[in-house]
Amino acid sequence: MPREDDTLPEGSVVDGASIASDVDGAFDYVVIGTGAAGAVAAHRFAELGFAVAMVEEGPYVKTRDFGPDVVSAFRTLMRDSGTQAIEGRSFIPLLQGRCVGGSTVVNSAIAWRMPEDVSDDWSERFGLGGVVDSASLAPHFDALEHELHVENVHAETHGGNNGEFIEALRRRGIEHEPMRRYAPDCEGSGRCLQGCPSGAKKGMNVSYVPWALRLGARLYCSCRVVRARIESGRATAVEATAKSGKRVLLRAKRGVVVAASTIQTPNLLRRSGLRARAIGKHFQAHPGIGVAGVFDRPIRMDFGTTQGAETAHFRKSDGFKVETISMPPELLAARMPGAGADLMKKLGDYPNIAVWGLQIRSEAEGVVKTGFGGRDKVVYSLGERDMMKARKALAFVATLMLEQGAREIWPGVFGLPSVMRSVDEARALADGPADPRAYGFIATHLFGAARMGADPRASVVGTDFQTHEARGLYVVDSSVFPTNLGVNPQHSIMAVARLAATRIGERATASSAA
Amino acid sequence: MSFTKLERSWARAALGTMFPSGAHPRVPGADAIDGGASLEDVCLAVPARVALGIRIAVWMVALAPLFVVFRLRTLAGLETAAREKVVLALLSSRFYFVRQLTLLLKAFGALIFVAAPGVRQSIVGRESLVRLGRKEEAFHAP
Repeated sequence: MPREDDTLPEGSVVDGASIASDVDGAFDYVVIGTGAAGAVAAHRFAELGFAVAMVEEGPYVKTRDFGPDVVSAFRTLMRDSGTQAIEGRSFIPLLQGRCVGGSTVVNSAIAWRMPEDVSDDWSERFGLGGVVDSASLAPHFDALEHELHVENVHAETHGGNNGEFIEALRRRGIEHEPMRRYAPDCEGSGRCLQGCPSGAKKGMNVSYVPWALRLGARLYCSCRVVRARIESGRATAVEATAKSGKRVLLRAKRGVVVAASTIQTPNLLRRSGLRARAIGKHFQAHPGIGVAGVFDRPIRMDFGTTQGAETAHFRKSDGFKVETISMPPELLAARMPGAGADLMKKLGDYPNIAVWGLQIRSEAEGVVKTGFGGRDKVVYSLGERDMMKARKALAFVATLMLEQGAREIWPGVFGLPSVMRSVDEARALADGPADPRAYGFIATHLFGAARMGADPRASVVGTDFQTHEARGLYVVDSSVFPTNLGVNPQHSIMAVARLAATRIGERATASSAA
Repeated sequence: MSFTKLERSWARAALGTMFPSGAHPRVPGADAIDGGASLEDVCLAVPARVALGIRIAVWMVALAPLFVVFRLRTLAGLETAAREKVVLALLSSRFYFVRQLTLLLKAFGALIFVAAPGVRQSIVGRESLVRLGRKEEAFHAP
C-alpha cells in the first residue's frame, strides 16, 4: 500500500537541493517551518481556501528511507546532526528535528491536551483568557484527535520496557496511563527516534504536510529562510536560500506565519529587523534524565512502542512526570557508566536493560541569543528548586526500577556510585548533589522566547498572534507560550497553531468580504 | 579540517580503549573498525565548534597518560589495563570540562561503533521481530 509521502501531487514539492534557477512565487500565506505548528497551520489555511507555501530548511526524507542507524538518522533528520546543546552552568544536549515534519519525525507522537491549570495560569497571569484557554482550544484538540486517530498504546505493542514500568506502578498503587499517541497502527519497531519505518506514527511528514499539498499548498524544502521582508511596517515576503545556492522569494499577500521553533523563531524575527526587548527572553524547557537498569529477565527495548507508558501522578505535587523511553544501543552506550571491558559487558546486557525517564517542569528561564557566526545560542541554567524536583524524581525512578526487580541501576550522577543495587542507595539520590553539572540532563520540549501578551514591552506577539512590530507577521509555534506545560507539548502546539490559523484566516476572509 | 595521521591513530586508540575487542563473547570491539577515519568523517558532518571539541578530546585523551599515570607515553603506547585506567579517570574527573570532553568522545565513539556492520545485531541479540513481520506476543506481567 502506498504511504502518504509516496503519493504527493505532481509539482507540489520544490526541492531546494536541486533547483537550478532563482524562484519568485506569490501566495496568500507563507508558513515558515513544517513541524507540529507549521504543518498544522499550513493545512488549516489551505482548508480555508488560501494559497499557501511552506518553507522548510531541512530535506523531505521519505518513510521508505528511514533506517535503524542512529548516525544516519541524526545526520539527515536532526539539526546540527543532533549535536546542539544549551549553554549555561552545564551543557544540556538538545534535540531538534530539521527536516520536513520537524521534530514530529523524531519524537514519540504523544498527545497530551494542555492541562487546565496551565491555561488557567495563562489567563490569570498573562491575560490570555478567551485567547488561548481550555474552552477555545477544545474544538481544535477534538479535530486533531479525530484527524490523526489518537489512541492509547495497544497492549500488544507495549514490549518489556513499557510493561515492566506499568507493573512497577501497579505494585506501588500509583495511577498510570497508557500513552495517548498519534500512531494508531504502531507496530512496535522501537524506532520513533530514527523516523517511523512503517509510517504508522503520524508525524507531520506523513499527515498534515501531504494533506496540505493535496489541498493545493506548495512545499519548498531544503530552503533556509534568511528573513521575512518587512516593508512599511508590514510583512510582504519571505527570502530564503536554497541548498543549491539559488535565491527563493515567496511573496505573501496576506501574511507571513513563523513556526520555526522556540530557538529559531526569535533569531529569525531579529534577522527580519524586529527589535522588541522581549525577543529571546523567557525561554523554558522540560529537562529530562534517563535511568537505565539491568534485569535478570529479557526486556528487549528493540521491540515495543518507544514511549508507551507514563504517570503524571507527581506533576502537580512535585513538578515532574515519569515515562518510559526505549533507547537504541548507540545512545544507551554513551549513557552507560565506565569504559573498556566493563562497558562491553554492560552493552552485552542490552537485551535485559530498561530505561525510564523523568522530565521536570522547571521554573528556570533562559535566553535565546544570536551567537558567533549567526548561530542560534541558548543560555539557560537550572535553579535550586528545579534541582530539588530533579533529585526527587530521580530517586523515585531509581527506587521504582529496583523494586521491580532490576539487579542494578545506573543513575549517572557524578560524585555518587555509578552502579546502585539497593533501594536504600537509590533513595539517597534525593539528597544528591545540587549542582546541575553532576547530572546528564537532556532537553527536548522548548517554550517561550517570543512570548504572547497584550503589553508590547513585555511580549513579542499580541493576542491575535501578530507581532507587535510588524503587521501581517504572525508567530504560531511554542515560542509564544508564556510558560512550559509540565506535559509533552506536541498536541498543545498543534492545537494552538490550528486555533491561530483559523482565527487569522477567518479574519482575513471577513475583512475581504467587508 | 582533516585529521592528521597521528590524530587518526590517537582516535583509534581512544575508541579501542572504550570499546575493546575480546571483552565480550558476542559483541565485537571497536578495534575491528577504523575509528580514526570514522571520527574524522563525523567531524566533517557536525558544526565546526563540535568538531573542534571532538578534536580537543582526542588530543586530551591521547596525552592524558602524562597527567593521569605520570608516564611519558600517549594512550596508544600503554598496555590495555593502563589505557582503561586513564580513560576512566578522565570520565570521572573533578573538572567538568575534562569529563564532558571525554564523554563527547565516548558518545561519538558509541555512535560509530554500534553503526559498524554486525555490531548492533550482536548487541541486540536478534533480528528485529518487527522487521521479520512477526509482532511479539503481548507483554503480560505476572
